[in-house]
Amino acid sequence: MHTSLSGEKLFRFRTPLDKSLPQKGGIKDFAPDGSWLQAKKLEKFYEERLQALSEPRVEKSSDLVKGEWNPEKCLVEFEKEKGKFWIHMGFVDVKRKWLYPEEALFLMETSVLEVWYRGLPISLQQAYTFFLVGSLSMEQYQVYLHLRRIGYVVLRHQGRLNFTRYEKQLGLDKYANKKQRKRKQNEKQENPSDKKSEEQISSEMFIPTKSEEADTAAENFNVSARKKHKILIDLPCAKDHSKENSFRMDASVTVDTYVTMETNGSKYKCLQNDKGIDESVDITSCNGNGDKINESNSCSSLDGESHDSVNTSQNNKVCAEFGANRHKCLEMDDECSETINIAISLSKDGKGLTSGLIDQEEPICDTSAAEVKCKHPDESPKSHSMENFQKHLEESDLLDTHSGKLAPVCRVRNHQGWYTSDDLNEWYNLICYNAANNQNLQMVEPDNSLQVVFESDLNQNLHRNVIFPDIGEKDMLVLRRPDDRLLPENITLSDSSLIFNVQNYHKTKSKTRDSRREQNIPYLYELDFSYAGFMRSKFRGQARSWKEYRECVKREEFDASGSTPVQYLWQESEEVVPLVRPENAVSTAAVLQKLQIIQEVDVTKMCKWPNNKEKISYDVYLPDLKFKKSQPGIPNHRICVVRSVDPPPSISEVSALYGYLDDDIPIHWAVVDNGEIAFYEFSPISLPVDITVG
Amino acid sequence: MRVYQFSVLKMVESKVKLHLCNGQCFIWNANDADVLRQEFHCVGSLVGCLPRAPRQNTHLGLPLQLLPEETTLLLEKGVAELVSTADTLFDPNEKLIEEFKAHRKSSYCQQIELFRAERKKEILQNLPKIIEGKRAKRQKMLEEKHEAGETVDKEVNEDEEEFNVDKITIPPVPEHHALVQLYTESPYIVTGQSSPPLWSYPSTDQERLRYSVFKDLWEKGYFITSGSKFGGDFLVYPGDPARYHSFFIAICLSHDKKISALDVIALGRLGSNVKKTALLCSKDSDGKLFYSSLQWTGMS
Repeated sequence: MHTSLSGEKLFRFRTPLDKSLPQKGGIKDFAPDGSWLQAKKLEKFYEERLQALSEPRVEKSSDLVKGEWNPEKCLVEFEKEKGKFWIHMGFVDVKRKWLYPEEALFLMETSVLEVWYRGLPISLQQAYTFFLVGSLSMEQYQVYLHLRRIGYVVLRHQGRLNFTRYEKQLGLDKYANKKQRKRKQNEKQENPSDKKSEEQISSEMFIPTKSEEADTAAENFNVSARKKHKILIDLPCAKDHSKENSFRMDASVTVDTYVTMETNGSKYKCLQNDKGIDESVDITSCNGNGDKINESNSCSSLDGESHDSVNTSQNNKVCAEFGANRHKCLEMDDECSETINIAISLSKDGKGLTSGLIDQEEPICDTSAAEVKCKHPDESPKSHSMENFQKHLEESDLLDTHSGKLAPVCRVRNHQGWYTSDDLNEWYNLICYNAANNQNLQMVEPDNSLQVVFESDLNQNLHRNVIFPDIGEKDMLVLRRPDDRLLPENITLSDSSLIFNVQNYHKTKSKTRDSRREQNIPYLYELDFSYAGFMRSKFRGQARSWKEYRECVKREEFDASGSTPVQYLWQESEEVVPLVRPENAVSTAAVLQKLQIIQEVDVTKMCKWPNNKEKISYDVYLPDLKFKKSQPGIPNHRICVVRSVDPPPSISEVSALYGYLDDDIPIHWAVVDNGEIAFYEFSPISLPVDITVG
Repeated sequence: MRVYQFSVLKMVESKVKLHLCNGQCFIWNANDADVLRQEFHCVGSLVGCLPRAPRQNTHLGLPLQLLPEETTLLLEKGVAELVSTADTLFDPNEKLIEEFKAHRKSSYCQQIELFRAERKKEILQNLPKIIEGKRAKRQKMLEEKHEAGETVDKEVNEDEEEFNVDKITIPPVPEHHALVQLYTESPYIVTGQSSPPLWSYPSTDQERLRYSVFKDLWEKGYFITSGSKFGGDFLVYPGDPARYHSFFIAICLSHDKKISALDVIALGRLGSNVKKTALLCSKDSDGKLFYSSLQWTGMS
């Protein structure tokens, strides 16, 4: 029965005789009736079927890929691929090309591959016996074959994808691989630029005259504005520092200013003057300090010098400096000492940040941070007055240049201004963050209404002059024209832009305050009727601590819930317990939740670790021209292969599998029954709960 | 002692060979598959790719996978023999390789002549065109010569244009362009093999029940296929499944098994929806088979 075709017969198949598919039998009849027609139809069907089945696989020798079966590895090795299968099949190991047995079998069935073993070609029949051993079962192969025949790209299961939920939410998982590669390329490209002299880089960064750089700076600012929460995260650290130094800092205030800053569209709140000068205890020190600053700032020659020196220092490495001392001149109210200390602690924190970043890419930051580092330990941030502190700073040689520009709305220069501690923090954090991340100390607001440039130079030991105008008890303020040298090129300030309307400013501020109060009116209070009495009434007790307060509230709640006429029902016996108590009636959903005796269980979270992780056999991808087997990306389906005689998977197994893989890729169970394959999918659903109110 | 041999000629008719591979039985020969279907009503299911159109799922090719019941029945009827394909895992000796090489060589030699004959046929078919072309070429050449001032005798040239097809030498087709066969069925014959492999189906009670139901229905002349499409054990056809719809969905239940009313409803409902009859099959302690059909009716 075994036949090997002679050359003559092979020759008949040099061109495919008939590519058309045989009929499946045509429209079926109900039952055999012994008629001639039926017999004829059946005969024809058998004839076609036999012809289609007995057709041999004949190919031109040069068109075939020739592989060698390796029984130890259970793989097929081959040398030269032909056709397109290499895009999504096989793998390379030490310059040798391999095919998995299922891949080799599929290629044999599609007349692409000829596998040899010890000098003889292997027939498909032998390959079924040789290849389908060990890890690969007949059922798995049949599922593979089924999916491959209709064009899916099927790979062996590659385990769970390592993406965080956050990455998935942003859709980063789809691009992760590409991005990584891009970054690598960029790093390669950046390497030569890293070798550029530091001065080049620094000059690029610190000269704020090029408009394009202003744009990039604006981008940087945008980034920092979006990432504000990151700065806030740093705050507890700062708090710790301040604690170490036995100083107090209210982080929540800072948080609040962030919020307002964002809602106000980032108007420079730093200009607000909450406190009169006279109120403060440290008036003298403040004033003295202010005078000092005035002296130093009003000295135009010094200013010019500083600028020149900055310019010259651009040639000799302008270092980014964000030490604590930059706040020295900014703080004059009674909170000054506190603020300064906060600033110091923050700077320490910032320093930590930058030093953490050193290794990666920031040479400038590196040096500056190092310098700060070496100088800070000498410094004891215990000075309580501004004066002392300034002296201290002067002694410790830690002065930096601080030239501030607020354009076009205001140009702060040679004016005395007051910052609140919050504002300072805010500014400082922005600077710190910007510096730490982008090393760009130029910040431009998104709408370009505010531009602040901090230039600093530690080595040059210079002054700083950021002066904010006093807008207290004034309707209009004419800001002084800034030094043209500090303005970017091609920018001229009109006179109107120097006028600052304080009234308008206050109006917009109060408006936003009102709107905030309105927002604060809790939505829930409109649903008074659904609250127990105690929830409406304010807390009347007295408490000295939070613990005490909580206890009081609890007691009150208990009193309120106890005031029901049927209370004796569940006070005496433990058996009868109300499903819902009045205090549960916070919202409709809460009541429903209480009434729902059988709780809905999220099965995916019930069991986290599957017993047999090998259960999933294949990752299936839709055919895609861009597919790369080195970076297959996220599969479209996953396939578990089971036999029809096997018991179906239990809910816990299914949920464990879903829970372990933790992505939304559907898992299909391919049930193989003697060559017939059916796909099933278990998908968890939750029933909807109707809530009309609350 | 096993002897391996490379087969070129069709062997004498013998029993249908069921190749056991990983616990399943496959038919690798188209004629065997045809015989089983026509004469023994064994349908099985094709699981391989169809050589002429391998990338689709509607029409499949060899091998043909048999139900375990079919295998047992065929063995019992003595029309087939079980062959373990593990036996074909061989350690080829020199003789076999030589035989194979000789076969390939002779096949190639045959093809040289065949390709040559085909080329000749092509030439003959296109002879008028070829002559036309040659004439045009010659004419052009003559004109060129004429322009150059040479005198040519046209008469002689006309005669030369007649050429003999047989005289043209056609180079032999290169060996790497020769056609080769990718063997579906193994061409290596194993004779004198060891004792046939064991076939243990049916071994459990449920399997025994299934087998006796299968056998009983088969003996009644039905065609039987796997019933997993409709959630039963078997689908029962009155004739060849390619030409007729199935009548029954057979569900094998042990005699003393209680089934819930819900299951009965589900089965009845299923049967009426797919226009088939749900057939509950069971065997009592005496080995007698009982069939009960379910019909779902609405009374109004």
